[in-house]
Amino acid sequence: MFFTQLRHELWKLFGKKRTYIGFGAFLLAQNAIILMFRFSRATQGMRRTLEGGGYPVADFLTAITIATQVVIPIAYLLLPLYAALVGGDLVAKEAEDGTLRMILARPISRLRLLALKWLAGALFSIVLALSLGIFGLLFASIWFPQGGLFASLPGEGSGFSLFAANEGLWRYGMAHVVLASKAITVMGMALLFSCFNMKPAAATVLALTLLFANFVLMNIPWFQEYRTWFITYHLNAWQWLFLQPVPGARMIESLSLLAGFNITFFVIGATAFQMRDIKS
Amino acid sequence: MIRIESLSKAFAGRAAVRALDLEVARGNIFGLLGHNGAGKSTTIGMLLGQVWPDAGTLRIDGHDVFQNRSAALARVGAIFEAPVFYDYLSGWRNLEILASYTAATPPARIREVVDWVGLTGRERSTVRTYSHGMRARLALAQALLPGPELLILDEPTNGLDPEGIHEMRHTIQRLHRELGLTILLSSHLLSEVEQLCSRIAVMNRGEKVFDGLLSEARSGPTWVHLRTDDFVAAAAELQAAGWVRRHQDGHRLELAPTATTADLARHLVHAGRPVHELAPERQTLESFYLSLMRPNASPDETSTAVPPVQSTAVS
Repeated sequence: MFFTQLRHELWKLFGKKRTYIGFGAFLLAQNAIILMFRFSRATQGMRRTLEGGGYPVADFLTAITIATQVVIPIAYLLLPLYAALVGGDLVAKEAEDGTLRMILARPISRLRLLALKWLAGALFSIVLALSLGIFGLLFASIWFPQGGLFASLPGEGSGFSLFAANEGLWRYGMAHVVLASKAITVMGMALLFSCFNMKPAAATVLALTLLFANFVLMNIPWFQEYRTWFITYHLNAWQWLFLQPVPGARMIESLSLLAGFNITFFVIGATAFQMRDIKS
Repeated sequence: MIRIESLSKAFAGRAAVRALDLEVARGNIFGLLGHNGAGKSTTIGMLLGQVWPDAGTLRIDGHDVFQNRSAALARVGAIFEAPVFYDYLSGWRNLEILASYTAATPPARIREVVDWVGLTGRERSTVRTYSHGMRARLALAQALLPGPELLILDEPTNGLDPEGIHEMRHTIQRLHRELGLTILLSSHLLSEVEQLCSRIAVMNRGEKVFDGLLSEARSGPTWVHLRTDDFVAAAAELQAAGWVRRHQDGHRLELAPTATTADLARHLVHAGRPVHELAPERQTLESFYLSLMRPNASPDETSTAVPPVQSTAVS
């Protein structure tokens, strides 16, 4: 019965046009960035770095390198936006439309309903993160050759990493799996606000505000010592898959903290949802 | 079927429902009457476990709604004013989704209910293409899917055109007759309640001000309207003669239990008092209801603002 109900939550979620805004925005943004790389001098910096280190440019100025560069700004800005949009909708939109009252006239518990919604949101977040990686690589492959991965990441010093084609692809794939944890956490944060008596847009904006405030604080130079205190630091754990070697302990710690955040968001949201009155 | 005891609820310090006691017997069509904001929807919200009461208990079929919600609501269907659905999905899919929150529902059962409410042929269309009447039928279908014993209808005819209201009324009667459902109907439309319910409760500002049979509501004390030269003197005379219990508003008289309008006319004419107008006021649900809505009114004081329905002039 639980899986039937989960399937129905997914029907509701994926039946709405606004659920696909994120996917559409990804397609546009990814193609725009890839075309900029292809038809401008944007790759000059990468060329210089590779040539300066004595590495063959043709082997590393590849589809997977470009796809990795494309995913960075999108994962910072667009992915949280669309994950929060869906998370903010999950309860608040149903409350606003009145369908929540129809559901809660039935003998389903609020906790079970919220668990179903969280799971549907989590599945959406996974699909969103993975599709970002798949589409990025596919579109980049149209304009750039296959080959090794050259990865240079913001916030991780001025260094770069180089990987052979197979290892690059594996790291790219795993980075997107970990990126899904970021999408799930942002979705969960918006779902938490959605459980309170507020409009869906307010829930989305609140989650994004919290996220951006964390990001701003984390990037104040004087606070560098405390950057691990901010959730945004841990949300970017997916990037560490492109470091050589992968900081395993740091990654496990961050993913554990994200799991803790998710449980906390869910418990607070469930408490608020359980206690509130559902009125017309 | 429903037992509510000492139920109270306040929102931001303002009482929405005060110490409500209510009992709905199995097989009844029970009308919950009251103006907008009287506390009807809050009561229904609490009955469905959607609104938390501040005090009191609610039981459906013996099960406490808040302690054993799943058992209490297992055989309950509900329809709210302006039924809302997932407009972008088909009627059928909406039914599948909503039914799954109660129990696994086989397609054959959905088909049966779709047929019963007359939506066959349109069940696969998206709900956004439905007319208001079709939405009302879909709302009824989702309420019937769990095979309810109790149907809770919160202002079910709001927003319907006269044809839709007629159809809904006919359907409610059919549900009661054919399926033997207990129905709790909340409404502020007196005519609707009058035509459907056998028993009513009236709420005013969160309090129950009447609970009884519809026939009791209609059979209050008999009032007559009298227009004469000196009303107060005439009323005192009639009161002294035992024809009238009391007078009100300078033109209304409450008849003694054995008195009739003809007795009054005869007495006044014999006493030489000019009678410009003498007419009985028939007690209607509307006049009864309006009397209850007056501040500090009790069900006995059934004064009315409606004009007399029958007029007899004696001069």
